[in-house]
Amino acid sequence: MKKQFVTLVQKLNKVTLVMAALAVTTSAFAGNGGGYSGPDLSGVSIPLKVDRAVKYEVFSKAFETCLASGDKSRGITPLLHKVARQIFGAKLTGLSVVANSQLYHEQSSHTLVGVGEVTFSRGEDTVAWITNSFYLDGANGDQQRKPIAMGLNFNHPAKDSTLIDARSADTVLPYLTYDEVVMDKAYDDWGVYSEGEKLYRGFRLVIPGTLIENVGFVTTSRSTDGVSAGRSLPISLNVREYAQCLQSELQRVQP
Amino acid sequence: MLRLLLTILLSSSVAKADCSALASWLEVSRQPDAETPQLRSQNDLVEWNLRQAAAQTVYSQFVSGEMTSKCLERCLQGSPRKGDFFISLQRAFLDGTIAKLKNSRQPVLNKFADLADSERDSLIFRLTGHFGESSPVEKKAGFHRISQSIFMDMTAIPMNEWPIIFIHEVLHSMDDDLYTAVKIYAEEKRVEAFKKNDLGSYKLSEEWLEAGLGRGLWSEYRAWYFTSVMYREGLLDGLWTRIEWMDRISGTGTTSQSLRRHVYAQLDRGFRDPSEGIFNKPEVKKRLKVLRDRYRSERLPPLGHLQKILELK
Repeated sequence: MKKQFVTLVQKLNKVTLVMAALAVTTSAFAGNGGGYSGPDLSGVSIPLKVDRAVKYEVFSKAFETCLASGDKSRGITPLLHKVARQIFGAKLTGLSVVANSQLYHEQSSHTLVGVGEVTFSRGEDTVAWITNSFYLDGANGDQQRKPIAMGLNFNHPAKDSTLIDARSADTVLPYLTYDEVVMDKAYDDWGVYSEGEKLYRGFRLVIPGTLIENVGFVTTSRSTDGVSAGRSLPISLNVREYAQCLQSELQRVQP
Repeated sequence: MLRLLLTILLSSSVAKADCSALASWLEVSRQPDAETPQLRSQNDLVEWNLRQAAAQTVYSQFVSGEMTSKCLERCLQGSPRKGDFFISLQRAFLDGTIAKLKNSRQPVLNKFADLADSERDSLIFRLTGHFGESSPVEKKAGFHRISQSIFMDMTAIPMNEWPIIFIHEVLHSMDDDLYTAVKIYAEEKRVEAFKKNDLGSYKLSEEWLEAGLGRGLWSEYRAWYFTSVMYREGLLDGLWTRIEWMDRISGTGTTSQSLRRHVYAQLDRGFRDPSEGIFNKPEVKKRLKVLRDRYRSERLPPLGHLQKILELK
């Protein structure tokens, strides 16, 4: 599973690099048009800049912060870190957390779900990692990629095991819906455009659940006859908090 | 000297709050991890509930003027989870504002509050003005026309004005006509035509100019008209006290038509025409002038989707 995830992340990285061509400037993010609020009503009747949609990497950055990497300087703890602390507790002390996150994109249903990975290591050794991952179904992988739930892997000689929640990520975690994808031409101030970029218009945050207690990770471990089910863990997944983080970060994010 | 004394007295009377609202949460958030996953999971829930309660109390203190941003910063100094707290506080501001508006018995404000209530989870809303969370532009609040996201500065906006600014920004997010104008304005064929100074058919450029107004001046007109209506309704309900600049925007007109005309005139005066690039071309200048004169003297732009969802049955 780990190998599969890494391969997919590498593929997504390539896609991201192709798409990440432009920077949304502060002024562009401000919407340019004036007359925002309060006593200051100065503005331009027709805004000078044309509007562009929201970049893939804006979503990706918001998902990454709220799901996997957090922001230590601002005191924001990511969801996966909280889950890891519930599972490992004080054993995590002194361990480094490596965050690696990519955005899952399911175009057919116009939804975007965050996917991410947090790896815990002691020195040179990776001892465990948590993934909110996905799998490939069928030969035409990109078209049929579906999200699955949080997965937890232990890298231990005696306990080569994986914990997988039965529910899929898009029924547990908040996701974004969008109206349309446009291949924007990256207009500058005066409508001169350069290369195309995949952008999203009309997005909304959807929260499928609230606070999920006893997520019930199912322990699966390898045995001579394959994979067998094990115990459940009393993990709580604070979906409401994760959604609140996204509500804020999606406004804040500046690539 | 007298002024200095008055300043000291005033500043000490404003920051009445201590950090007691945060004490329980701060204590729990600093506790070491418990022994078992089950206990750790339960502790997370306890921490979450305490944080929500603390955020609601701090919000109430802000509204009543008992808490300031500086005071809150002092309380959270050194907390490794201050960002988590501000995420909860942001939600408390959102929930508290909507709850306040839902107290109204007036028709438009009541309908707006219900709509905002149903949309609250979908709103991309950020509280700014604390610690490193500066606003993206030098405004008290703003609405980004593409991401449809809102920011509001808790330090810069007086609490009596907060609900009015909130109403205004959320109106933008509810305004489908703004979204439509944004899409038309950014259409490649139109931008290309203007880039090449090939204005094409009159219809094409007229539509483009109207879309530009639709996301600029006219979108502000739609939102400020209904902000004015709700401002007046809220005054009747005692939800806020008079705001000088809102009185100026909404005027004294007693009919819907006179209010619309007044709001439009107020905004129209403050919105200048662009004069750079393609807008410097005489052809474009002329068309824009004709368009603006028409709506200034003859008819008003329609209130469109906002009217449909807020006024019509």
